[in-house]
Amino acid sequence: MVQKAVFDIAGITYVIEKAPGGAELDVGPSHQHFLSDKEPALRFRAVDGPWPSLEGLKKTFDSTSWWSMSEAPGARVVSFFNATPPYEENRRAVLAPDYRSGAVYCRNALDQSFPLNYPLEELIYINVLPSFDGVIIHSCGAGDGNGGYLFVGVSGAGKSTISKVLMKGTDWKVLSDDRIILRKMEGGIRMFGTPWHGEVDVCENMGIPLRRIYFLKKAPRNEAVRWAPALAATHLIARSFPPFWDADGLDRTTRLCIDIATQVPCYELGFVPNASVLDCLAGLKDG
Amino acid sequence: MKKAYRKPEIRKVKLVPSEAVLAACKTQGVSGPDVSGCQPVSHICASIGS
Repeated sequence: MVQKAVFDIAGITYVIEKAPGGAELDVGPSHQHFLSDKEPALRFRAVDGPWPSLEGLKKTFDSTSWWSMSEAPGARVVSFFNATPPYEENRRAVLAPDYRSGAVYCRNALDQSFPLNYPLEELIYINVLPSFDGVIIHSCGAGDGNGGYLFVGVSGAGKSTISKVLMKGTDWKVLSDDRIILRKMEGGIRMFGTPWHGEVDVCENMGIPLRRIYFLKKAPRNEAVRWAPALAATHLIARSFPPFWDADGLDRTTRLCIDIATQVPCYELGFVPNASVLDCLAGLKDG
Repeated sequence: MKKAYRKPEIRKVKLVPSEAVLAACKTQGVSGPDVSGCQPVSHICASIGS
């Protein structure tokens, strides 16, 4: 019976423990790649029992969709709701102010089997990454043996499309088609795969040096245009997942994106959604 | 030689709020909200926010 599990995402480890007498933990296929035996830096547990009250708490953030955050004395309380009437709250997380520990209360069996189900796990990382000089970028990430390349874009920009091109009979290794973590570390900027994939089921638990960033744009022909750091930084910030509800975290994330865009060559990549983009990528030289 | 003056210009970069604050579904075989527009099968959402 799985009582607890430790995961390592981008070099930051956490443990999740099941509730005593509660459902056994179910580590899904995406998370299998991220299991770890390292000592966890973050600690979370599922709790059976009465949910802590929200009465009198100040709501600090509302996604206007299916989660919101409130401030309690010495804690941050995140509520998750069904998105259809009657919009019942199905999960509540009570987290430490530094988001490095907490308790999760679940209403349904699926959440009890993995209490940090989307988006809670990702929210936790959004909040702790600034203190680890890290940020999540809405992007596909892939390596060619010489280093890592980030393909940045919103939904529909072509991240999954380019992932499929890179995965088909090439030497490229795709780390994720949707969420990549960047961290500033000794030796430079590194990119990491995450469990939070998109329509392409690929999650590689590895970190590689970041060589270039491409901002995706579907186009009638393959063309890469070098961007100045200021322009690239603006776009990188817009495609990141910063903690908007935390002024210090937001400031750190913004500065990190500026650092990254200054250190790493950035391009706008207009691409044709087929294998012809590979020739374009191979032909690019550092400016 | 002096560079020619170029008036500063403001460029807008579109932010997609629903994606930036994880307000959308994801495809990953994990539970998500029963969002209208998704095709929930045992709590598994179809992709909207990826």
